[in-house]
Amino acid sequence: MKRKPISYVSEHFNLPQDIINGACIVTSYGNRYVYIENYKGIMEYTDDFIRIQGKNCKVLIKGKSLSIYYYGDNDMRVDGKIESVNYTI
Amino acid sequence: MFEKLVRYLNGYVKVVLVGNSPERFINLCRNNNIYTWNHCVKNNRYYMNMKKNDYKKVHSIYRKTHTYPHIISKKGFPFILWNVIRKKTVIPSWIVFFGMIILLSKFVWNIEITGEKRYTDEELGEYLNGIGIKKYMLIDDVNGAYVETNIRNKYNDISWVSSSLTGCNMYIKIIESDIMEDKSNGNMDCSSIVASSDGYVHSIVTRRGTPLVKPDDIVKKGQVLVSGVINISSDSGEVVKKNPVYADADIYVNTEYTYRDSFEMIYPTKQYSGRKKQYIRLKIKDGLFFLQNPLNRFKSFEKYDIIKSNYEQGVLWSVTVVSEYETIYKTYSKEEAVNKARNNLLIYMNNLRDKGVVIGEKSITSTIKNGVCLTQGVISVKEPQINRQPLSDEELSKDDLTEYGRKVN
Repeated sequence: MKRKPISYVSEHFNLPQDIINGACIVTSYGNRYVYIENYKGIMEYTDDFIRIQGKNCKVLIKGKSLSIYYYGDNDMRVDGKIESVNYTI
Repeated sequence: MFEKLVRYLNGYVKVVLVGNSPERFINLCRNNNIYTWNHCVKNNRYYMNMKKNDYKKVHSIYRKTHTYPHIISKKGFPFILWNVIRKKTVIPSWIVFFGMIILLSKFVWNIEITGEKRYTDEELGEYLNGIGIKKYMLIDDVNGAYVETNIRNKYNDISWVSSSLTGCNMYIKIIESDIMEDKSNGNMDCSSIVASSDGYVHSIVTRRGTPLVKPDDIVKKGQVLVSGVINISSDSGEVVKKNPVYADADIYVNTEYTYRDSFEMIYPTKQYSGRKKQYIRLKIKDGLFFLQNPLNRFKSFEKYDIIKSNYEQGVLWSVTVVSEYETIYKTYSKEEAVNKARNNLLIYMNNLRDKGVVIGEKSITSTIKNGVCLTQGVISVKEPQINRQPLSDEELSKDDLTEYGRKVN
């Protein structure tokens, strides 16, 4: 895969990807909560999955009884029984 | 926690999104700085919470997305307040409530007198009633200076009075004077010190008056020890004037007390049956009411003791528990009888010590005979002499006086 020059620079100089490249940060606490930062918006939302649009990729969270505890400007928290977190381009 | 409190105080609504593109609605809310939380999907319906004020901003989003948020429930303090206010009876009730408080706070509901020893509350209360200070009077009519002046004028031995109003209570603090009157002035109070019992003088220190005995002198009961007459002599040694004074001296006389104490070996005592009864005592205005379980009313106790009560002066209600007992008779064992006799003797000696008597040797025996414990003996004591005798006319007579060495006749 051809990488963007800015991605190459940030890797080379050990700069944080989320600031330079706008990468999505996904933090999971067990299988109960998932914190997501640097996202653009929600693409799809059902009881079983949530598809979130990041800057460079899409994040698909699958699970049961999924709910969004809060939905702020920079971050959001997804609650429920998390089964998988997938990344798609 | 703090965030939840702020949301509750500001008020928030729970909405359900009705339309085809709820995701777009949520994203637009975020882009328009409308904070949302607690999103969930149930039966393909989208629920979420938003602030009360933000709900007014979603109209433009509705036009774009054709998704409308329907309010399911309103939560928070502003909605509760509005629910309370819009009821017709609430505001009049609050007005009546505050009106009653303001009205009732205009009256004196309790008068408390503290610091009195010689006068009872009832006596002072009656006097206050007499001068127009009574319960249930208007606070505006209370004049503290008037109360203080009247009490001081009425009672000479009350040296300080302070009255204050705290809330609806009126507090009157008084201090009674403990200073004794000067007994050295006036012939009426002039007196001599006399012996209170037979014995011999142990020590004598005279401050005022004429000592008539010295240490080791044998004295009889009623004998004058220090006379209240001071003879003023001329240069030739003849009495020219008799000055009556209040004799004052520290005199101790060695004497003996006969001690005798007896008690029956069979004594009554209480045996509690374990049956208890509880009643509530209510004080409403000046009346007393007793409330008790009607089922327990049939339990009539012949003899009972109050075993628990939280009654205090001034409280409106108190709970009292009584326990039934019956009187039974027991017999002292020999050891118990000796202990009781010893305790009685200790109490007797402590009472003597309180009176200033110094206890010396003692010879006491206890015997148990015919169902009676008899304790008797002799106690040697050093007794202070405080008995007084007013001066007689003979002592003050001027018949035997001389003036400048010459008989006055």
